[in-house]
Amino acid sequence: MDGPTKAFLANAAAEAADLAASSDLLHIQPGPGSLPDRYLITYCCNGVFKDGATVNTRLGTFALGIWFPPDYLRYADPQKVLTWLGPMNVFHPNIAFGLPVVCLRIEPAQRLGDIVHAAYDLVRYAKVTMDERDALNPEACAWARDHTAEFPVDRRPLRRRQVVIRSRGMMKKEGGAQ
Amino acid sequence: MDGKSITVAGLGTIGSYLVELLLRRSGIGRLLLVDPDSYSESNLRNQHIGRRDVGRPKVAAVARRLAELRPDVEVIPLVSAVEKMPLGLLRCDAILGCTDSRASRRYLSEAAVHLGVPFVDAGVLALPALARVTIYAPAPEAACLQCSWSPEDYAQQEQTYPCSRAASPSSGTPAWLGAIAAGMQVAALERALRAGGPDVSQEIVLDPHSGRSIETKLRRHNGCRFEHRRWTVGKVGGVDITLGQLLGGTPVGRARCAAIRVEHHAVVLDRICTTCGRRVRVLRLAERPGRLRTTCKGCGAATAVAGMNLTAELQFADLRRGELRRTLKAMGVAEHDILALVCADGAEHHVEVGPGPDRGA
Repeated sequence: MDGPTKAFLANAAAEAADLAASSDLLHIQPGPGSLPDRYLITYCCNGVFKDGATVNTRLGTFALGIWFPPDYLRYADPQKVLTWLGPMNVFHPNIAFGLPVVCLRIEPAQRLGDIVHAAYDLVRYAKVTMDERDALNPEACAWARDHTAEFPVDRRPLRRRQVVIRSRGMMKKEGGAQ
Repeated sequence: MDGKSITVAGLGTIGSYLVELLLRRSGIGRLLLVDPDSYSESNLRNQHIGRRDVGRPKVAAVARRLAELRPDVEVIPLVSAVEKMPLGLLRCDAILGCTDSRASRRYLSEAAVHLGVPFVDAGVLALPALARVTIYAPAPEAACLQCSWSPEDYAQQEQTYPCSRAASPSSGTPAWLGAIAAGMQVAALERALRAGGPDVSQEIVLDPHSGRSIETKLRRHNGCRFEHRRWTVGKVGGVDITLGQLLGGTPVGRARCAAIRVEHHAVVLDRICTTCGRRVRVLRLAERPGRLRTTCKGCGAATAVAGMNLTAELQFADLRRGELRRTLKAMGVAEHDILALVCADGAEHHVEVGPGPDRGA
């Protein structure tokens, strides 16, 4: 592994830890090794699904795989770098229905954090293509054009701390005292 | 330039003129032509071809013409993108780049540094009419193509998106400009092959209308994203050698081989059924699927390859028992591919896959 790539992977590992600590919508599982080159990203947020003939928006868990090949700093093949891991009934113009393929523009050396944010914007319909010629799911594209008022389907920012509401009667201290 | 082996990548506006200029002078013993495309009707306007070449693979059409011109020269046509050809085929005396692809140029530049081969790249700009030739010296301390690249240059490389349906536009470069660039490239090749070769990379840009030219010496950029590392490439037996033989039969120095890479290739570990999620172990180069079964044995649905099921480096510790008997050929490895044998202490040794059956280390 060359020096620039080692430095990039070290930064990515630090970024992953920082992101995971700053979001309750996100879980990041790094691959093995001290300099992991792949990550499993899991989002818990609202998305759009198609079950049979029914399209609906609901809370779900979405998984994306990211692999940084050895030449990632110089050439980014999105079909190698990104893998859609599920659910397979997600309904989105940029995600092939039933296949592990997602269409998201990435550039060489693009940081892990940028990819994670861009994918989140994609899942929640904050970033979506409306042109069938650029879509992996033309049916979802047509649906999106009729529902733009609902977007994004999840308005929460990725970086957020869970708000803990302490209110009399809502939470008990340890030991039972209020 | 006696008996030199030259590779020409790209047979379009520049390359179609270049190859004849090369063979009309002495000194070339072997010419490897690489281009994945075929000539079309529109190419008659600005490329050095005849009507009988339309519809034929570019390398085949050019090879036939060159055979008539110089039957004494070995001309090898290869219908392939440079990124997909066995890397060892680029071990020659010089690489001449005539492609219109940034990604291909970058690839050739990296291969040239690794293999210690001078890389002479040519390009043209239709408006204003400019012809450019760049000689990249093979020395690790010399500038490479990427030493002058900005983040925008990297971002502008051609990529294949799964949703992309846009056709690439054809070049509007006039034929005379391509011919001028080809002539400049031949002159640059002679400089590159002079005894001792160049130790500094340099670029020449010519404005044919005014006759002015600018020559620039290029400097190595310390922050270059590409680590300039020259390989020392040995030989290893043919494609029938097994992974187990590479592990056990080829001890490198004092350390045995702990992992293997097929340079510039990714290995597919598994294909996944898109319906039932069943995984099928594949262990094959991603760009050479061969006749792999693409349907699930369990439910018959299509299987797919995903990035997370690829690896650049195959760790022997992760191989299953039966997989040690897997041959390089079964993995899709071809003659002239270059392997990196990675030792447990991190040292790497590069070998080129040779012809014929393996006879041991």
